Amino acid sequence: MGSQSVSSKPYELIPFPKESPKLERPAGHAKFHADRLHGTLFLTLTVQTAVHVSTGFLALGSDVGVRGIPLLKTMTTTPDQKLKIQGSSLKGAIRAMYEAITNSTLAVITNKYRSQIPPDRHPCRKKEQLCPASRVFGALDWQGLVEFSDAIAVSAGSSGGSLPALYRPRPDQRRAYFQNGKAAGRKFYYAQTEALDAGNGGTPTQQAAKKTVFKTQIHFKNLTSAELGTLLTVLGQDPNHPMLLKLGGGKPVGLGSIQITIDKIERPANLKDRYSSYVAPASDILEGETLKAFIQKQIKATQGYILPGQLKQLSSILNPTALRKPPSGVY
Amino acid sequence: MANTPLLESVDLSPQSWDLAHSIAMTLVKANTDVNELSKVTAYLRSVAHHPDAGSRFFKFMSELVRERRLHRTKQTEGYYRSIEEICKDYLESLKDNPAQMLQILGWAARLMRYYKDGGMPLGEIPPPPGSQLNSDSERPVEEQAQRLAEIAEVRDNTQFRVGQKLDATVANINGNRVTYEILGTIRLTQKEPKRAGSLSVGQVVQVAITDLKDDGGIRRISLL
Repeated sequence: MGSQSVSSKPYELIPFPKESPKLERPAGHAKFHADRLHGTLFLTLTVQTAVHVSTGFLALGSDVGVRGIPLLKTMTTTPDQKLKIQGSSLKGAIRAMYEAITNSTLAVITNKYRSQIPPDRHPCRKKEQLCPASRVFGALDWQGLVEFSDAIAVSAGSSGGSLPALYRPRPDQRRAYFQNGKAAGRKFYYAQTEALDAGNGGTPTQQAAKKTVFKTQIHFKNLTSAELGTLLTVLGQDPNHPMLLKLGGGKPVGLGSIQITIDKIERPANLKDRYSSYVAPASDILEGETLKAFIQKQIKATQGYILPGQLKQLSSILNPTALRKPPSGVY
Repeated sequence: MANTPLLESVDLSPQSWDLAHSIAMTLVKANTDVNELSKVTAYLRSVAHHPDAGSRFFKFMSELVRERRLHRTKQTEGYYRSIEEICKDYLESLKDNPAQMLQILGWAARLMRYYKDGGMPLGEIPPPPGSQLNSDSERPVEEQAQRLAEIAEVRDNTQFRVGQKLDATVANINGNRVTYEILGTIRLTQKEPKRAGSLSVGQVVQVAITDLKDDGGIRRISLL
């Protein structure tokens, strides 16, 4: 790094709550509980700053329809060349946010840092004793209540970009990661005004350019109002706490911000009728004002479930109305 | 993805096995990272359903050598360069058969680990098809048997030792790989990056044995 000035780090750590997570019995899949919510969210994802979710494959620019770049790191695409964000990538990003604003454990930890992670934040291991996020998204040996589909771009084509060189995280050299020898919290990168492009100096990548629109669905079952409300909050639907999703590679240099809008929610009034026909009756589809009212009702139910302090912090890091400029120096 | 060549089962012919072994041995000798071979194989797999898969593959490799922004260390370029060279030598003739190329490359990657970590001695590497000398497996069976017998006879009658000096005829030169013929029967191919340019086929040179195999055969020589 030499004498170059080091910019401040473009992330914040959201501390773990002081209280241990409350572990409860999950709703499970054995039946649709009448007092819980089931249905499908129809989402539109609009790219705010270029997104790159890597596949690990290299390809010729001409293979993926990107001009001017001979060779690049690819994103997943459908057979007809539409960009795709894997459902698993979406789920991971959304779960991380859900965990941070509820009193939950971590989903995955590495053995290397096991001893430095507070014991009550270790992933849930008992099927009958799950933290809030594990009850909704699943845990080891336990299927979650939400299913994510791949997000597919509305139109074919993609663009190319040059990803600036990123350095590895250095938890051992940086004290902020640990307090009293224990991990300090969860790390989130700021939503930034633009994605940096390294020109001739970076790694050539296939990207979803700004304003690219993806469509996807999330199916949910047996959720309580508070759980669905929290999911909707994470998707940026709480007007008091707007949030962007931050996803894929290059988060430190401004890539990966996505705005989510909910087009409609399908919520079957009668499950037997719903599964007896191919098309949902119009009365099951929530749109416009009814959709707004429904979302508000669920978000209201999150009081006491979401931790207000953590929500405020997360929202300030990912707030679309207070974006930060990506740092220019070495960091 | 139905009807793609990937779903056709390809039985490797003895010649193809030779190619896989040769590619693996040459790359191990050149100290190439096996993961990089897997990377180019992965590319071929991803375009194998296109009619021009073979030419895309060769174009991809030449770009890979050139695109320094995708090289992680200073060694990466060397790895890609030796992979490109060997694929051009051994697989160019199979350009229109990506399924077979994939099988050969897949096995070459597995064999690389075998030769590298299994401590398998590297022997004579068959030259690429179409070069001046055909590989043993392409000779008639009787001729192969006769040649093996000749080699065994020379080996049994000759006690080689490290440091021993011998006359050798340059039997073939391919890039920087030189095939020597010793005592009229034993052929040995090795890289001579510095000297290959100054040698010519048919020239008689002096070599010294630097390493022996367990069975007493010659593993490595150095050009004097």
